[in-house]
Amino acid sequence: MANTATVDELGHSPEVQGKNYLNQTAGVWSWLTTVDHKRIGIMYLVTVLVGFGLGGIFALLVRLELLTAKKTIMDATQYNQAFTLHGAAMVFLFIIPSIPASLGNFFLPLMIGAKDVAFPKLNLLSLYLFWIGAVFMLAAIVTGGVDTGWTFYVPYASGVSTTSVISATFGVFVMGFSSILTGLNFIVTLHKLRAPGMSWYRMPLFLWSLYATSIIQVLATPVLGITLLLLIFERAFHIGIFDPTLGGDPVLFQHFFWFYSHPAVYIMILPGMGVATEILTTHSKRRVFGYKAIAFSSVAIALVSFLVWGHHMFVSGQSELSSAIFSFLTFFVAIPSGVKMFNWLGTLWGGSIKFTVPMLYGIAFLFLFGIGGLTGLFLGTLSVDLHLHDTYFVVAHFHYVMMGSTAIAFFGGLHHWWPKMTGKMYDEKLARVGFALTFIGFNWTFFTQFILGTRGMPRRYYNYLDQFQPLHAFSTYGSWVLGTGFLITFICLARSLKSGAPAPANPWDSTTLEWQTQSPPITENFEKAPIVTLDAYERPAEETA
Amino acid sequence: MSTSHAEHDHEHGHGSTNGDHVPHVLPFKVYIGTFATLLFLTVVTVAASYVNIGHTGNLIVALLIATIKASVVALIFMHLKWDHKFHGIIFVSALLFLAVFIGITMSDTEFRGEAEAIEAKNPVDLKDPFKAQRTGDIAIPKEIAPAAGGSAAPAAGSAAPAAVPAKH
Ligand code: HEM
Ligand SMILES: [Cu+2]
Repeated sequence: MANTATVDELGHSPEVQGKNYLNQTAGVWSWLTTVDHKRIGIMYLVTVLVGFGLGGIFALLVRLELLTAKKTIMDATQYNQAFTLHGAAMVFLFIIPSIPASLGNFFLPLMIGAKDVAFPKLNLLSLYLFWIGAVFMLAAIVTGGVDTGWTFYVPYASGVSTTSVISATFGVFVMGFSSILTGLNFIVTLHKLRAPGMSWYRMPLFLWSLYATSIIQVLATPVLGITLLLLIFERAFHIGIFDPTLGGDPVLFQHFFWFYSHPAVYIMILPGMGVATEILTTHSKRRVFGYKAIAFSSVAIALVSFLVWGHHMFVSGQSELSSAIFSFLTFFVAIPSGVKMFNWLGTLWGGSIKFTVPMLYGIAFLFLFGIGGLTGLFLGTLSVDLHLHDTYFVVAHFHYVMMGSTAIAFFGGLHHWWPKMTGKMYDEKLARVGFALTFIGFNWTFFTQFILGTRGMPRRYYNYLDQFQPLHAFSTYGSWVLGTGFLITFICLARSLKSGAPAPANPWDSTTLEWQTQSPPITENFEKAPIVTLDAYERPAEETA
Repeated sequence: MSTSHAEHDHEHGHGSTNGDHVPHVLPFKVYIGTFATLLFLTVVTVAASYVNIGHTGNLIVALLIATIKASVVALIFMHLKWDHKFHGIIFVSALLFLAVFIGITMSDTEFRGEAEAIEAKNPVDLKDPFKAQRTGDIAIPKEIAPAAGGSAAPAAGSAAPAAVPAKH
């Protein structure tokens, strides 16, 4: 794909050399009114990182409270608020938008050789909606907090809780629109703006995963919107929909909620899988093994994900028939997930693996997703879940998939694409230290919780039996290591911004299109519209030995 | 960007235009005809409700008529009939999607509480919740099985502590 040599290594004419999307125009206003997908991606990135920081602070507070079996630092109401805000911030402010809206926005057009997404203004609108939603969530925190859990279960959320449920749920409602618009934009962009020669099967697999994610975002998020509106109506106007005292059906709320939120867990993980694929292939210099298998397993996961929501409701009082159906269907999710797992391993097999920082995150992803995904199958088993439901086993499971897999993939992707986004390299040594502490701290904190869960420790308890105290304390110590790991990672990246060495166009010797332009790219992405003649992971003939 | 009639245009509506949009104008009388059809079917719906063919029967008839009406609207008023096939697929999958949500949810709402009835007939002895299961369990070693057998038919509520194996 490399052009014949002209002026610089990438064939850029003198006019564009030294210019990039960051220095093209300056000033806050130029950012707030930009329609450049790269700038929007960066603003999303900053926003989700703030969300992550906020959620992280609540996480550390929750863990600190659980250090002892009775009161440690806060009272019971504050504890309920802390875990609710932790969950809500992490899910809605961080993990759902994390990869698609930041890395996806930045790299999707670059990877297909386009100038921008299909609807740049809609893209900016989605960012503004996200901010507006976030403001409502912050307002909820300031005006009384929320203590319902991130799942907003009725009738507690619709009738009993005295906290700012309406503000929080309305915030989530608005953020949902942002998510829908991003998904829509990606779908249209992938259909319409691929560069000449960029057929579907030549797209990097990250894009297939974003495509599958977008389908879910567009299809499922409206259901969340409806659910939250119904909840708000019931709370504000006492219309009986879910509350049994008003003639409603509380289990129906759970159907509505999980019909969105189970697919939403794939909104969270699919982009992470995509990032992992890019990292594993690039840093082992191997073409992806089983390209189509990985591509279609993403789509398969998206489709199957709509059929299994009831596995969150085995003890809700739903019918035994439903439980049996959902348990049965849940196991089908494992098939495409397993397909991916083996193809990733196949990709690494015989590759020249370099343990760069992104690769460390990539390998950690494989390991942690293995644990997270497999424990999902334990929980999907009806009889086992009757014991494990609402225990720390569930907490450990979803932290292994959300934090251990998606967040780790996100940080891996951040390190992988950092040179492209910022034009700066980072201190590899420091980044490794950050990674190591994160990885150790994560397993320390959460593997412990598998054990707590199997021994019967329920989740969301303020006080607990003394027999659980040692393991709880152990988990809390792990959270400090984990926090330190992230802190070091942030320091490392901040230092890179300030004084990192300039990044070459293609530091990892990757084959995908985003590396064929400057670091950081010019506003138009490519000086000449690229013409694609090779598969995503194919090297030009003269390079392959 | 022609505005020719459906009959002339619809075979080559696809691809011959600029891709996304299939411009298409129907003669006025088609709209009037559709309107009349919808009104007529509404009358049929009302009329059918007076014929008693059982609760389910009436429901099926009403839903059938409603489906026909909705299809007429989608196909003619919304021009899906002359649009890209792909858009039709999207439209239908939206309905399928809704059917999945409602259908599977009904596997709950229609069958809820069935186990309760069974459990009411065989109430669990809280002091020894697994007793009934143990007697039926062929994997139980011989020396325990007879102890729990015989009297183990879980006569409502009456706990028989003697039958509890010493292991407890
Ligand atoms: C690989 C296949 C997976 C299976 C079979 C699976 C199965 C399950 C089941 C059965 C539960 C309910 C446990 C209970 O409440 O008793 C559950 C909970 C959960 N899972 Fe998974 N899971 C899988 C992957 C994932 C992924 C990839 C994510 C997110 C990235 C995820 C996020 C969650 C969350 C957030 C919860 C807890 C929700 C709550 O109650 O707060 N799961 N999972
Ligand atoms: Cu689920």
